[in-house]
Amino acid sequence: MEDIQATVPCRDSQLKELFELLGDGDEPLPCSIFISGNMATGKSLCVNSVLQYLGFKHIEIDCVECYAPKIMYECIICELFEEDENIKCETMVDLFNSLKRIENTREPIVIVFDRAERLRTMDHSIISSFLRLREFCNLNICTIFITHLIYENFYFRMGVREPIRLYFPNYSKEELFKIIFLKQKSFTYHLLFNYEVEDEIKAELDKPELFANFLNAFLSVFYRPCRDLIELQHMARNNFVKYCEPIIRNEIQAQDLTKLWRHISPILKSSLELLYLRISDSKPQNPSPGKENAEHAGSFNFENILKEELTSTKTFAQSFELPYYAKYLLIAAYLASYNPPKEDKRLFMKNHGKQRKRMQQVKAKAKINEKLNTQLGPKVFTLDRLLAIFYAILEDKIGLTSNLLAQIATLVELKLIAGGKEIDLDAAKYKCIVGYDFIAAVAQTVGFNVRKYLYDFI
Amino acid sequence: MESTVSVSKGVFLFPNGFKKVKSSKKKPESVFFEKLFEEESWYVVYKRNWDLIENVLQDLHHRTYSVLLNDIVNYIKEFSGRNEFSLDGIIPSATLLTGVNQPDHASQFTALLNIIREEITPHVAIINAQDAPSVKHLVENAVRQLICEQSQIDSSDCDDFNVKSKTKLKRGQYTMRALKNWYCSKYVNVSPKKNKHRVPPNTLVIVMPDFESFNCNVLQDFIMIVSSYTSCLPIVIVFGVATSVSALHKSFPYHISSKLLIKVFHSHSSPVYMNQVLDEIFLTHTSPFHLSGKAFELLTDVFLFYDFSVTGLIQSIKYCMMDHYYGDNMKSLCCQPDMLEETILNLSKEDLESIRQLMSFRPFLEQQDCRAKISLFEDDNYFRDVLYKQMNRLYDYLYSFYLCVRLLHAFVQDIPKNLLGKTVREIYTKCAVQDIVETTAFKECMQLLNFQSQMKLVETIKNGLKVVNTSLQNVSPVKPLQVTPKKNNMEDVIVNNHLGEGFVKNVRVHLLMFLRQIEKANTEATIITNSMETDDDVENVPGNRYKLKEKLLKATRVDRVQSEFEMVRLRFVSYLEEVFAKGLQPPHTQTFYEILFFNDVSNVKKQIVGSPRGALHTALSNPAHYLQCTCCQLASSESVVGSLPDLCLAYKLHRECGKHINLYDWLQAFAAVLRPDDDEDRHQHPVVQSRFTRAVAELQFLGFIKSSKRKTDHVMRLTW
Repeated sequence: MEDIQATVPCRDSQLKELFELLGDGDEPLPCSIFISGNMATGKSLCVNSVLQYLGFKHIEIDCVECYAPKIMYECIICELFEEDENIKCETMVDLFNSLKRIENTREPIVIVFDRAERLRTMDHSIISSFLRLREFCNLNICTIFITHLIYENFYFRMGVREPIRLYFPNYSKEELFKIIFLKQKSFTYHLLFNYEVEDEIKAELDKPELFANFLNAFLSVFYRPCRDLIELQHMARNNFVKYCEPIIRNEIQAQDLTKLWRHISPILKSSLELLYLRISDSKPQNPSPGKENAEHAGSFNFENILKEELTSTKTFAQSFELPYYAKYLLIAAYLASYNPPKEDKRLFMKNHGKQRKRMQQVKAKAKINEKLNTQLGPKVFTLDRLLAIFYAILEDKIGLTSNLLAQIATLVELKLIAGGKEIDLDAAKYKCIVGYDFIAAVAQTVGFNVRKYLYDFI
Repeated sequence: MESTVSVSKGVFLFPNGFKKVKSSKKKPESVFFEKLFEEESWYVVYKRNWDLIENVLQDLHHRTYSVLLNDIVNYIKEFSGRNEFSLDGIIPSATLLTGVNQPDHASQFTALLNIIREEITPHVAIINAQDAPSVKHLVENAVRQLICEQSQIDSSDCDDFNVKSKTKLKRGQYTMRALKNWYCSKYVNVSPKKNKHRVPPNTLVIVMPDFESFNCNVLQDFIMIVSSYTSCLPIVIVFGVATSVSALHKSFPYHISSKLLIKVFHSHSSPVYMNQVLDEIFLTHTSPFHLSGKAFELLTDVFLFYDFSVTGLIQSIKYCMMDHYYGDNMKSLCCQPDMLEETILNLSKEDLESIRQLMSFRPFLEQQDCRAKISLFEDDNYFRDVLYKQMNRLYDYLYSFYLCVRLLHAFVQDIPKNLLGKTVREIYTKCAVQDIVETTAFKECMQLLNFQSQMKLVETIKNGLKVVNTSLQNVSPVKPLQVTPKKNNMEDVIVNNHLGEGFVKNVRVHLLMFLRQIEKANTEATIITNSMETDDDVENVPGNRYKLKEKLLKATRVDRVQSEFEMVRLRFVSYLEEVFAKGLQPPHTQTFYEILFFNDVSNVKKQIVGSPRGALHTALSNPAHYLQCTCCQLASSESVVGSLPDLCLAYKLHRECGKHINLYDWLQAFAAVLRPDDDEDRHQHPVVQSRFTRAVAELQFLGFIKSSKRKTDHVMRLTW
């Protein structure tokens, strides 16, 4: 027990609970256990180490890998019988039948489903059957589901045997400190691997106090926006190198904590700022994975240019070149997506006649700011409309050539324009999926004023 | 025949090993073409020249990619070297930013694959987006390639494993588990036995050339799967991203991207590469084939405006070349200069006759005296001599022309405002289209050159000298003119002396001289600016002749005092103007330029920049254009005649309608054209009706109309 607690720090109560559930050899195993908790909270680690310690026969299955249930079944059989020659197991019934071949019905068997949230998208019966696997095949068998979702997110039909639930809470700040601190050796190794260091300073760097100090500083900045252990470790690794740089260069004594703090705090803040910038700048256009995306910005060893590219759409737009007409096509696509088709005539034709302002319209326009087309999502448009606008905004006359049409396909391929779901040769539908900033940057390179042609800004 | 017995009709497949036939079939076909043409001298020359160009291209290609590829290879090696897979669950991955020129990617990635196969590991999988619509396909594809590729390549090395894996795995069984088993049996289990030839376990490399077109959910799952296997399989992923790195970040949420260790590699941007290709291969005097200004402009425009594809550009040039040579023996003159004499001797009478008919021959003819004219037409041998002479002159001209283009580029490139363009190709286009010395842009440039500072000017002259030197170094062994056996009139010799190698050498001498003068004048000028009017200093210096001259010149100008440097500069610029005026005459002023320059732009344009809608429209509105028949001659494009094909008739009538077309009215109009005489029930005639129905169906098939549900008896127009 203590061995495990040493390898799996700060999860004492959970480990204990698992032991109580699985521990005694002569008792039958529980039917099924459901373990939930955020990412990187040590769920799999706990389960695996407990099972290993107990020496149970256990099978781990990564549900992501099982794009077909067949793979999962075959995987289970494979591991159970330790043979990999020509196993065929197409259905659940096959699985049960093969399981019944096991003679020793008292031998404990555990099946662990990692990332069990994927089971939800498979056939409904699969997860319910696994929940009561023991009933089906009369074995001392237990299924453990590990997922980052809570139990309520799993929707079951009637007649499900409720699993025993176990929750893994997030690590607290102190716990995080403790865990990362355990890895001090690897951190310093990483540092020494990258730098040539004199022996004297090496000894200094090896001291745990230095690392502890760094970790304190680091967590004080990063604990708030990020709780993910893996992520924090990665960030810490990068920043620890920077922390130690002045010591290696003999500029700051390793004992001079205040100086070191002064040195590192702007660096930490800047890497933190990167997170914030990422959220505020380019996120509004694709709002789905809000915070998470922000964090991963830090997880790469990228150069400065890259950082800038990530932080603003404008540099993103300038970071790659498009052919001249492709730029215009993209602009046309944007205009088609964000202008109501009714207004096309007014926007793109020279003699469109005067528009009489009706009171209703004026009111409608004045009142709702949030209904601006540019802030609503892009609308679909047809190929014809795209080409019509393209020719309207392009000054020189060019023929409608195959090269031009191929450009549209290219833009779709590059995920700048989204093609319609079903391919309809008669009326192909598209949608522009880049934001205003991007288009403004592109338009700038060809000297085109987008605002002039946007209905919202007139 | 039992197998084909069926209740309903059906198509039955009888496998008969057709595949094998197919691969062998291709060869005879190309041989057939070659056989057809190989007698013709133009084809031989074309073939030789194209091979030449292709070789040079490949060379350049390798040179440009090798740095990048080596970087990637080293990066991958770095990971293959590590035996302990210390990064838990993190996949090392290289991201190659390729730029948006889609057609070029293929060659880039095949080069990458080859180099990886050679240097790192035989286990490489390349997966295109269309092969991976779902995780299942993706995994199966990757695993199959990783396992099988091996057996193709070094089957001799370890047969026993391959046989085993080959026999064992069926299509559905290519899973990650299978891969793991295969890998373990291959490397991990073998190594303890100390098989000496299998030193380090090989890395597995998965290449995805078109990242953007992948479904990101599929990719996410794939990465999760791979990451769970990193502990036992050393996998490296290479992504080819066309846009920018943020595309990668946008499609992966945090928990996926934390599984990747990304390193970014930038490949050449394709405009840069295009400039390189053009500068080094096509815009040189050694290139056997030249594009006239207009053709060149067309091709570069296609590149810049449409697709950014170097491959496309090269193919277009190849097309131009084919068009240039095709079926024309005269063009066999368009070859390497050292083959010229032989080729001219081989020309037949008809070929010579067609050369005589070239447009550019006329001005030349007019310069000759009467007797020469007659013998040019009558005496083939004399004409051959002249032709040879003139062709050599043309080569000399080309040599100095390209030199001058480059020289001009060297002088102009850092002048503000970019009047003539920044790159050699832009300047070439301008020079080839018109006499550049006459243009205002050129004059302005020269004026601006006149304002350059000493330092700057020295620098540019040095650049210019570099250009001249390099071109003198790699001058092809052009036969000096004096060797040619002929009795030429004096004028020619003088003209000849002005161009060609002698001309270039002359330029070089002059440039060197100016450089020396300007460098020297540098110090003088500062002194003069210090003491504006006192010429004593200058007098004291033991000056050379130029200084004396300048002093005298200065003395004549009372109102405006010029430093010595300014004087030299002025003379330098006027010298430059002189040189360029001589060297940069546009190609179409030269005799027989048609032989070397491709000029038929309009003809090629249709093929290179295809316009499907335009072609369709012409075909339908003016069928005589393609049918070449006499019955459908139309007065104007709008007019309608009964003899037109039904489809064209229906098309023309439908163009007169609005968005919705009433079928009944349409039929009426259709019948009225077909049978103008009987008026009442013509539209009820079954022949008319069936013809009409068929035409409408065909229009629908072509995508011009579609049936609408909103209005009965109406169809919708789909084009505007």
